[in-house]
Amino acid sequence: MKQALNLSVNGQQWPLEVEPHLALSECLREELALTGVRVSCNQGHCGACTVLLDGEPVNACMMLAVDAAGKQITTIEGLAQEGKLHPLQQAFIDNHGMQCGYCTPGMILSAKALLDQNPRPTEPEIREGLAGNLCRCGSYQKIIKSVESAAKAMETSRP
Amino acid sequence: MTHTINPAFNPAFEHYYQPETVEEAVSLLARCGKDARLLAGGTVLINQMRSRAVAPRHIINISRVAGLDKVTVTEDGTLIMGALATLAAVAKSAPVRQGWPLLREAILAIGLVQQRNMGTVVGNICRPVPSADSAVALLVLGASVVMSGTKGNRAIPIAEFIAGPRATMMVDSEMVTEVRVPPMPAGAGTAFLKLAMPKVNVAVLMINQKGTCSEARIALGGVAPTPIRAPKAEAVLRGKSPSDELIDETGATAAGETSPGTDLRSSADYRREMSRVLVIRAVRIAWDRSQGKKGG
Repeated sequence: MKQALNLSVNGQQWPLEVEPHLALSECLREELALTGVRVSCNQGHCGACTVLLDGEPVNACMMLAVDAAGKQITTIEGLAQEGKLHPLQQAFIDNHGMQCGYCTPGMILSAKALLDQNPRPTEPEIREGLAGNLCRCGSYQKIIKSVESAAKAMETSRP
Repeated sequence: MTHTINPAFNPAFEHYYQPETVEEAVSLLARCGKDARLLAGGTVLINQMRSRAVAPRHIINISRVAGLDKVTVTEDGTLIMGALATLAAVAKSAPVRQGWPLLREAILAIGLVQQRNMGTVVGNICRPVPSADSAVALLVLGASVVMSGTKGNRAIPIAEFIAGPRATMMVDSEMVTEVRVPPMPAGAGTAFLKLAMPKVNVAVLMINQKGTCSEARIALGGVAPTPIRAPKAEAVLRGKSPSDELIDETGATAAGETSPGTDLRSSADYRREMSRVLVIRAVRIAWDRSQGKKGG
Protein backbone atom coordinates (compact mmCIF):
# COMPACT_ATOMS: atom_id res chain seq x y z
CA MET A 1 0.00 0.00 0.00
CA LYS A 2 1.39 3.37 -0.99
CA GLN A 3 2.03 5.92 1.66
CA ALA A 4 2.41 9.67 1.60
CA LEU A 5 5.94 10.94 1.77
CA ASN A 6 7.35 14.44 1.82
CA LEU A 7 10.89 14.45 0.53
CA SER A 8 13.16 17.44 0.85
CA VAL A 9 15.66 17.24 -2.01
CA ASN A 10 18.13 19.96 -2.93
CA GLY A 11 16.14 22.48 -0.93
CA GLN A 12 12.83 21.66 -2.61
CA GLN A 13 9.83 19.83 -1.11
CA TRP A 14 8.35 16.89 -3.03
CA PRO A 15 5.03 15.46 -1.92
CA LEU A 16 5.02 11.84 -3.10
CA GLU A 17 3.05 8.62 -2.77
CA VAL A 18 5.36 5.62 -2.65
CA GLU A 19 5.41 1.95 -1.74
CA PRO A 20 7.32 1.47 1.55
CA HIS A 21 9.75 -0.96 -0.07
CA LEU A 22 10.91 1.60 -2.66
CA ALA A 23 14.63 2.24 -2.22
CA LEU A 24 15.65 5.89 -1.90
CA SER A 25 17.93 5.48 -4.94
CA GLU A 26 15.02 4.27 -7.09
CA CYS A 27 12.74 6.97 -5.73
CA LEU A 28 15.18 9.76 -6.59
CA ARG A 29 15.89 8.36 -10.06
CA GLU A 30 12.45 7.21 -11.13
CA GLU A 31 10.08 9.54 -9.30
CA LEU A 32 12.16 12.73 -9.35
CA ALA A 33 14.32 12.02 -12.42
CA LEU A 34 17.48 12.78 -10.45
CA THR A 35 19.61 10.37 -12.46
CA GLY A 36 22.82 11.79 -11.02
CA VAL A 37 22.11 9.21 -8.33
CA ARG A 38 23.88 6.26 -9.93
CA VAL A 39 22.99 2.69 -9.13
CA SER A 40 25.84 0.30 -9.71
CA CYS A 41 26.21 -2.57 -7.23
CA ASN A 42 22.85 -1.98 -5.51
CA GLN A 43 24.39 -3.63 -2.42
CA GLY A 44 25.89 -0.72 -0.53
CA HIS A 45 29.46 -1.48 -1.55
CA CYS A 46 30.37 0.87 -4.40
CA GLY A 47 29.12 4.29 -3.29
CA ALA A 48 27.86 5.30 -6.76
CA CYS A 49 24.42 6.06 -5.26
CA THR A 50 25.85 8.28 -2.51
CA VAL A 51 23.63 11.18 -1.49
CA LEU A 52 24.00 13.52 1.48
CA LEU A 53 21.45 13.03 4.23
CA ASP A 54 21.59 16.04 6.55
CA GLY A 55 25.10 16.58 5.20
CA GLU A 56 26.39 13.04 5.77
CA PRO A 57 27.09 10.63 2.92
CA VAL A 58 24.86 7.54 2.81
CA ASN A 59 24.19 4.86 0.22
CA ALA A 60 20.73 5.62 -1.20
CA CYS A 61 20.36 2.01 -2.38
CA MET A 62 20.48 0.79 1.23
CA MET A 63 17.77 3.05 2.45
CA LEU A 64 14.02 3.01 2.00
CA ALA A 65 12.63 6.26 0.62
CA VAL A 66 10.06 6.51 3.41
CA ASP A 67 12.90 6.59 5.96
CA ALA A 68 14.30 9.76 4.41
CA ALA A 69 11.23 11.76 5.50
CA GLY A 70 12.21 14.82 7.47
CA LYS A 71 15.84 14.74 6.28
CA GLN A 72 17.56 17.16 3.95
CA ILE A 73 18.74 15.22 0.90
CA THR A 74 21.43 16.60 -1.39
CA THR A 75 22.17 15.02 -4.76
CA ILE A 76 24.73 16.09 -7.32
CA GLU A 77 22.00 18.09 -9.05
CA GLY A 78 21.81 20.35 -5.99
CA LEU A 79 25.45 21.46 -5.96
CA ALA A 80 25.60 24.07 -8.70
CA GLN A 81 24.12 27.39 -7.58
CA GLU A 82 22.60 29.84 -10.05
CA GLY A 83 24.27 28.14 -12.98
CA LYS A 84 27.68 28.23 -11.34
CA LEU A 85 29.38 24.91 -10.65
CA HIS A 86 30.44 24.02 -7.13
CA PRO A 87 34.24 24.36 -6.72
CA LEU A 88 34.46 20.56 -6.43
CA GLN A 89 32.67 20.08 -9.75
CA GLN A 90 34.96 22.65 -11.38
CA ALA A 91 38.05 20.99 -9.86
CA PHE A 92 37.00 17.55 -11.14
CA ILE A 93 36.69 19.04 -14.64
CA ASP A 94 39.95 21.01 -14.44
CA ASN A 95 41.94 18.05 -13.09
CA HIS A 96 40.12 15.44 -15.14
CA GLY A 97 39.13 13.58 -11.98
CA MET A 98 37.31 10.85 -13.89
CA GLN A 99 37.37 8.56 -16.86
CA CYS A 100 33.88 7.21 -17.51
CA GLY A 101 32.31 9.50 -14.91
CA TYR A 102 29.91 6.96 -13.44
CA CYS A 103 31.32 7.21 -9.90
CA THR A 104 31.78 10.99 -10.11
CA PRO A 105 28.50 12.21 -8.51
CA GLY A 106 29.08 9.98 -5.48
CA MET A 107 32.76 10.93 -5.30
CA ILE A 108 31.95 14.64 -5.36
CA LEU A 109 29.25 14.31 -2.70
CA SER A 110 31.52 12.33 -0.37
CA ALA A 111 34.23 14.92 -1.01
CA LYS A 112 31.79 17.73 -0.21
CA ALA A 113 30.89 16.14 3.13
CA LEU A 114 34.59 15.74 3.86
CA LEU A 115 35.49 19.36 3.01
CA ASP A 116 32.47 20.71 4.91
CA GLN A 117 33.78 19.02 8.05
CA ASN A 118 37.50 19.28 7.34
CA PRO A 119 38.29 22.13 4.92
CA ARG A 120 42.00 21.31 4.76
CA PRO A 121 42.30 17.53 4.66
CA THR A 122 45.63 15.73 4.28
CA GLU A 123 45.97 13.21 1.48
CA PRO A 124 45.36 10.24 3.83
CA GLU A 125 42.25 12.01 5.14
CA ILE A 126 40.97 12.43 1.58
CA ARG A 127 41.59 8.74 0.91
CA GLU A 128 39.75 7.84 4.12
CA GLY A 129 36.88 10.22 3.33
CA LEU A 130 36.44 8.70 -0.13
CA ALA A 131 36.99 5.09 0.98
CA GLY A 132 33.32 4.27 0.47
CA ASN A 133 33.37 5.27 -3.21
CA LEU A 134 34.85 2.93 -5.78
CA CYS A 135 36.15 4.08 -9.16
CA ARG A 136 36.14 1.15 -11.56
CA CYS A 137 38.37 3.09 -14.00
CA GLY A 138 40.98 3.54 -11.29
CA SER A 139 41.20 7.33 -11.57
CA TYR A 140 41.98 7.68 -7.88
CA GLN A 141 45.14 9.78 -8.28
CA LYS A 142 43.34 12.45 -10.27
CA ILE A 143 40.29 12.28 -8.02
CA ILE A 144 42.48 13.01 -5.01
CA LYS A 145 44.21 15.79 -6.92
CA SER A 146 40.79 17.24 -7.77
CA VAL A 147 39.74 17.28 -4.12
CA GLU A 148 43.03 18.89 -3.06
CA SER A 149 42.62 21.53 -5.73
CA ALA A 150 38.99 22.20 -4.74
CA ALA A 151 40.03 22.58 -1.09
CA LYS A 152 42.57 25.23 -2.12
CA ALA A 153 40.05 27.02 -4.34
CA MET A 154 37.43 27.04 -1.59
CA GLU A 155 39.97 28.36 0.92
CA THR A 156 41.00 31.31 -1.24
CA SER A 157 37.39 32.16 -2.09
CA ARG A 158 36.37 32.15 1.57
CA PRO A 159 35.83 35.67 2.95
CA MET B 1 5.90 10.48 -15.09
CA THR B 2 5.80 6.85 -16.14
CA HIS B 3 8.32 4.51 -14.71
CA THR B 4 8.87 0.85 -14.33
CA ILE B 5 10.88 -0.45 -11.46
CA ASN B 6 12.42 -3.84 -11.71
CA PRO B 7 11.06 -5.59 -8.61
CA ALA B 8 14.48 -7.13 -8.06
CA PHE B 9 15.83 -3.64 -7.34
CA ASN B 10 13.75 -3.32 -4.21
CA PRO B 11 13.52 -5.34 -1.04
CA ALA B 12 10.29 -7.29 -0.65
CA PHE B 13 7.99 -7.33 2.37
CA GLU B 14 4.28 -6.98 2.97
CA HIS B 15 3.70 -4.72 5.93
CA TYR B 16 5.67 -1.73 7.12
CA TYR B 17 5.36 -0.21 10.57
CA GLN B 18 6.93 2.90 12.04
CA PRO B 19 6.30 2.76 15.79
CA GLU B 20 7.07 5.84 17.86
CA THR B 21 7.71 4.20 21.21
CA VAL B 22 9.58 1.12 22.43
CA GLU B 23 6.31 -0.25 23.87
CA GLU B 24 4.63 0.05 20.48
CA ALA B 25 7.57 -1.67 18.75
CA VAL B 26 7.57 -4.50 21.28
CA SER B 27 3.83 -5.10 20.96
CA LEU B 28 4.20 -5.18 17.15
CA LEU B 29 7.01 -7.73 17.54
CA ALA B 30 4.84 -9.82 19.82
CA ARG B 31 1.94 -9.65 17.37
CA CYS B 32 3.94 -10.41 14.20
CA GLY B 33 6.13 -13.13 15.72
CA LYS B 34 8.76 -14.85 13.62
CA ASP B 35 7.63 -13.15 10.42
CA ALA B 36 8.84 -9.76 11.67
CA ARG B 37 12.21 -8.05 11.56
CA LEU B 38 13.31 -4.79 13.12
CA LEU B 39 14.92 -2.27 10.80
CA ALA B 40 17.33 0.44 11.99
CA GLY B 41 20.36 1.39 9.87
CA GLY B 42 19.40 -1.08 7.14
CA THR B 43 22.93 -1.88 5.99
CA VAL B 44 22.43 -5.61 6.58
CA LEU B 45 18.69 -6.22 6.34
CA ILE B 46 18.01 -4.25 3.13
CA ASN B 47 20.65 -6.29 1.29
CA GLN B 48 19.36 -9.55 2.71
CA MET B 49 15.82 -8.71 1.63
CA ARG B 50 16.92 -7.55 -1.81
CA SER B 51 18.83 -10.78 -2.43
CA ARG B 52 15.86 -12.69 -0.97
CA ALA B 53 18.20 -14.26 1.60
CA VAL B 54 15.49 -13.38 4.11
CA ALA B 55 11.85 -12.61 3.37
CA PRO B 56 10.15 -11.22 6.46
CA ARG B 57 6.48 -10.30 5.97
CA HIS B 58 6.57 -7.50 8.53
CA ILE B 59 9.19 -4.77 8.76
CA ILE B 60 9.19 -2.72 11.93
CA ASN B 61 11.27 0.39 11.42
CA ILE B 62 12.32 1.83 14.76
CA SER B 63 13.89 5.03 13.41
CA ARG B 64 10.99 7.17 14.68
CA VAL B 65 11.33 5.97 18.28
CA ALA B 66 12.48 9.07 20.18
CA GLY B 67 15.60 8.98 22.31
CA LEU B 68 17.12 5.79 20.91
CA ASP B 69 19.90 7.67 19.12
CA LYS B 70 21.57 8.78 22.34
CA VAL B 71 25.25 8.44 23.17
CA THR B 72 25.53 9.55 26.78
CA VAL B 73 27.37 8.91 30.02
CA THR B 74 25.52 8.31 33.28
CA GLU B 75 26.51 9.79 36.63
CA ASP B 76 28.44 6.65 37.55
CA GLY B 77 30.46 6.90 34.33
CA THR B 78 28.66 4.21 32.30
CA LEU B 79 28.50 4.79 28.54
CA ILE B 80 25.03 4.33 27.05
CA MET B 81 24.57 3.81 23.33
CA GLY B 82 20.95 3.72 22.13
CA ALA B 83 19.72 1.31 19.49
CA LEU B 84 19.71 4.04 16.83
CA ALA B 85 23.17 5.47 17.61
CA THR B 86 25.06 5.13 14.35
CA LEU B 87 28.59 3.79 14.20
CA ALA B 88 29.79 7.23 13.02
CA ALA B 89 27.94 9.06 15.80
CA VAL B 90 29.45 6.80 18.47
CA ALA B 91 32.98 7.04 17.04
CA LYS B 92 32.72 10.84 16.80
CA SER B 93 31.17 11.42 20.22
CA ALA B 94 33.27 13.22 22.80
CA PRO B 95 32.73 10.65 25.59
CA VAL B 96 33.86 7.74 23.41
CA ARG B 97 36.88 9.68 22.10
CA GLN B 98 37.94 10.47 25.66
CA GLY B 99 36.83 7.48 27.66
CA TRP B 100 36.66 4.41 25.40
CA PRO B 101 39.33 4.69 22.68
CA LEU B 102 39.10 0.92 22.11
CA LEU B 103 35.48 1.20 21.06
CA ARG B 104 36.34 4.00 18.64
CA GLU B 105 39.18 1.96 17.10
CA ALA B 106 36.91 -1.05 16.62
CA ILE B 107 34.05 0.96 15.16
CA LEU B 108 36.28 2.75 12.66
CA ALA B 109 37.28 -0.71 11.39
CA ILE B 110 33.66 -1.44 10.41
CA GLY B 111 32.59 -0.81 6.83
CA LEU B 112 33.34 2.49 5.13
CA VAL B 113 32.11 6.07 5.50
CA GLN B 114 28.56 5.53 4.22
CA GLN B 115 27.98 2.29 6.14
CA ARG B 116 29.15 3.91 9.38
CA ASN B 117 26.77 6.83 8.80
CA MET B 118 23.87 4.41 8.45
CA GLY B 119 24.68 1.29 10.48
CA THR B 120 24.30 1.15 14.26
CA VAL B 121 26.39 -0.40 17.03
CA VAL B 122 23.33 -2.33 18.20
CA GLY B 123 22.77 -3.65 14.66
CA ASN B 124 26.37 -4.84 14.57
CA ILE B 125 25.78 -7.05 17.63
CA CYS B 126 22.19 -8.09 16.88
CA ARG B 127 23.29 -10.10 13.83
CA PRO B 128 26.74 -10.89 15.18
CA VAL B 129 28.99 -12.27 12.48
CA PRO B 130 31.93 -14.28 13.87
CA SER B 131 34.20 -11.27 13.31
CA ALA B 132 31.84 -8.48 14.46
CA ASP B 133 34.30 -5.70 15.28
CA SER B 134 32.25 -3.91 17.90
CA ALA B 135 31.38 -7.20 19.65
CA VAL B 136 35.07 -8.04 20.08
CA ALA B 137 35.70 -4.66 21.73
CA LEU B 138 32.53 -4.83 23.84
CA LEU B 139 33.57 -8.28 25.13
CA VAL B 140 36.76 -6.96 26.75
CA LEU B 141 35.02 -3.78 27.93
CA GLY B 142 32.48 -5.86 29.86
CA ALA B 143 29.45 -4.35 28.10
CA SER B 144 25.87 -5.36 28.78
CA VAL B 145 22.91 -5.35 26.43
CA VAL B 146 19.57 -3.95 27.58
CA MET B 147 16.42 -5.42 26.03
CA SER B 148 12.75 -4.60 26.22
CA GLY B 149 10.09 -7.23 25.79
CA THR B 150 6.49 -7.98 26.63
CA LYS B 151 7.67 -9.19 30.05
CA GLY B 152 9.69 -6.06 30.82
CA ASN B 153 13.35 -5.11 30.57
CA ARG B 154 16.49 -7.10 31.21
CA ALA B 155 20.23 -6.52 30.92
CA ILE B 156 22.49 -9.36 29.80
CA PRO B 157 26.31 -9.43 29.52
CA ILE B 158 27.40 -9.26 25.87
CA ALA B 159 29.12 -12.68 26.16
CA GLU B 160 25.78 -14.32 26.97
CA PHE B 161 23.82 -12.15 24.56
CA ILE B 162 25.66 -13.55 21.53
CA ALA B 163 24.38 -17.10 21.28
CA GLY B 164 25.83 -18.26 17.96
CA PRO B 165 26.80 -17.14 14.48
CA ARG B 166 24.37 -14.32 13.58
CA ALA B 167 22.22 -15.35 16.55
CA THR B 168 21.40 -13.89 19.95
CA MET B 169 19.54 -15.18 22.98
CA MET B 170 16.72 -12.66 22.47
CA VAL B 171 13.21 -14.01 22.14
CA ASP B 172 11.08 -12.94 19.16
CA SER B 173 9.18 -10.26 21.04
CA GLU B 174 12.27 -8.55 22.42
CA MET B 175 14.30 -5.65 21.08
CA VAL B 176 17.60 -4.17 22.18
CA THR B 177 17.16 -0.62 23.43
CA GLU B 178 20.72 0.15 24.45
CA VAL B 179 24.22 -1.11 25.14
CA ARG B 180 25.97 -0.13 28.36
CA VAL B 181 29.72 0.00 28.80
CA PRO B 182 31.22 0.39 32.28
CA PRO B 183 33.90 3.05 32.77
CA MET B 184 37.43 2.12 31.75
CA PRO B 185 39.33 0.89 34.82
CA ALA B 186 42.16 3.09 36.13
CA GLY B 187 45.54 2.16 34.67
CA ALA B 188 44.01 0.39 31.68
CA GLY B 189 45.56 0.27 28.23
CA THR B 190 43.69 -1.10 25.24
CA ALA B 191 44.29 -2.04 21.61
CA PHE B 192 42.24 -3.27 18.66
CA LEU B 193 43.80 -4.86 15.59
CA LYS B 194 42.16 -6.32 12.53
CA LEU B 195 43.27 -8.29 9.53
CA ALA B 196 40.91 -7.49 6.67
CA MET B 197 41.22 -10.67 4.59
CA PRO B 198 40.52 -13.15 6.00
CA LYS B 199 38.76 -11.26 8.77
CA VAL B 200 40.51 -11.84 12.08
CA ASN B 201 40.29 -9.25 14.85
CA VAL B 202 41.62 -8.88 18.37
CA ALA B 203 40.80 -6.59 21.27
CA VAL B 204 42.97 -6.39 24.39
CA LEU B 205 42.52 -4.58 27.69
CA MET B 206 45.30 -4.69 30.31
CA ILE B 207 45.42 -2.98 33.69
CA ASN B 208 48.85 -1.83 34.76
CA GLN B 209 49.43 -1.77 38.51
CA LYS B 210 52.96 -0.51 39.14
CA GLY B 211 54.41 -2.52 36.28
CA THR B 212 52.36 -5.65 36.93
CA CYS B 213 49.49 -6.68 34.71
CA SER B 214 46.77 -7.03 37.36
CA GLU B 215 44.04 -7.75 34.81
CA ALA B 216 44.13 -8.91 31.18
CA ARG B 217 41.20 -9.37 28.85
CA ILE B 218 41.62 -10.70 25.33
CA ALA B 219 38.85 -11.20 22.77
CA LEU B 220 39.13 -12.61 19.26
CA GLY B 221 36.83 -12.56 16.25
CA GLY B 222 36.76 -14.54 13.01
CA VAL B 223 38.40 -17.60 14.56
CA ALA B 224 35.38 -19.32 16.14
CA PRO B 225 31.63 -19.47 15.43
CA THR B 226 31.22 -16.30 17.51
CA PRO B 227 33.58 -13.68 18.92
CA ILE B 228 35.29 -15.27 21.94
CA ARG B 229 37.31 -14.43 25.03
CA ALA B 230 40.64 -16.23 25.48
CA PRO B 231 40.68 -16.96 29.25
CA LYS B 232 43.78 -19.17 29.21
CA ALA B 233 45.80 -16.53 27.41
CA GLU B 234 44.50 -13.88 29.83
CA ALA B 235 45.70 -16.07 32.74
CA VAL B 236 49.21 -16.17 31.26
CA LEU B 237 49.49 -12.39 31.68
CA ARG B 238 47.56 -11.86 34.90
CA GLY B 239 49.72 -10.96 37.89
CA LYS B 240 52.92 -10.84 35.83
CA SER B 241 55.12 -8.22 34.31
CA PRO B 242 54.74 -8.83 30.58
CA SER B 243 58.16 -9.77 29.15
CA ASP B 244 58.67 -10.53 25.46
CA GLU B 245 58.66 -14.28 26.27
CA LEU B 246 55.44 -13.98 28.26
CA ILE B 247 53.75 -12.03 25.46
CA ASP B 248 54.83 -14.68 22.92
CA GLU B 249 53.38 -17.36 25.22
CA THR B 250 50.15 -15.34 25.48
CA GLY B 251 49.81 -15.28 21.69
CA ALA B 252 50.43 -19.01 21.36
CA THR B 253 47.97 -19.78 24.16
CA ALA B 254 45.28 -17.57 22.59
CA ALA B 255 45.76 -19.26 19.21
CA GLY B 256 45.22 -22.59 20.95
CA GLU B 257 41.86 -21.37 22.22
CA THR B 258 40.52 -20.66 18.72
CA SER B 259 38.54 -23.03 16.51
CA PRO B 260 38.66 -21.43 13.07
CA GLY B 261 37.21 -22.93 9.93
CA THR B 262 38.56 -23.31 6.41
CA ASP B 263 36.77 -21.65 3.51
CA LEU B 264 37.64 -20.15 0.14
CA ARG B 265 39.19 -17.09 1.81
CA SER B 266 41.68 -18.87 4.02
CA SER B 267 42.70 -22.06 5.76
CA ALA B 268 41.99 -22.64 9.44
CA ASP B 269 45.75 -22.83 10.07
CA TYR B 270 46.34 -19.39 8.58
CA ARG B 271 43.53 -17.85 10.63
CA ARG B 272 44.92 -19.45 13.81
CA GLU B 273 48.44 -18.20 13.04
CA MET B 274 47.11 -14.68 12.38
CA SER B 275 45.27 -14.72 15.70
CA ARG B 276 48.59 -15.55 17.41
CA VAL B 277 50.40 -12.70 15.64
CA LEU B 278 47.62 -10.17 16.25
CA VAL B 279 47.36 -11.04 19.97
CA ILE B 280 51.11 -10.54 20.42
CA ARG B 281 51.00 -7.18 18.66
CA ALA B 282 47.85 -6.00 20.42
CA VAL B 283 49.16 -6.97 23.87
CA ARG B 284 52.35 -4.98 23.22
CA ILE B 285 50.38 -1.92 22.15
CA ALA B 286 47.89 -2.19 25.04
CA TRP B 287 50.71 -2.54 27.56
CA ASP B 288 52.60 0.43 26.09
CA ARG B 289 49.44 2.51 26.25
CA SER B 290 48.84 1.49 29.87
CA GLN B 291 52.22 3.07 30.58
CA GLY B 292 51.19 6.25 28.81
CA LYS B 293 53.20 5.46 25.68
CA LYS B 294 51.40 6.13 22.47
CA GLY B 295 52.25 2.89 20.66
CA GLY B 296 50.26 1.60 17.75
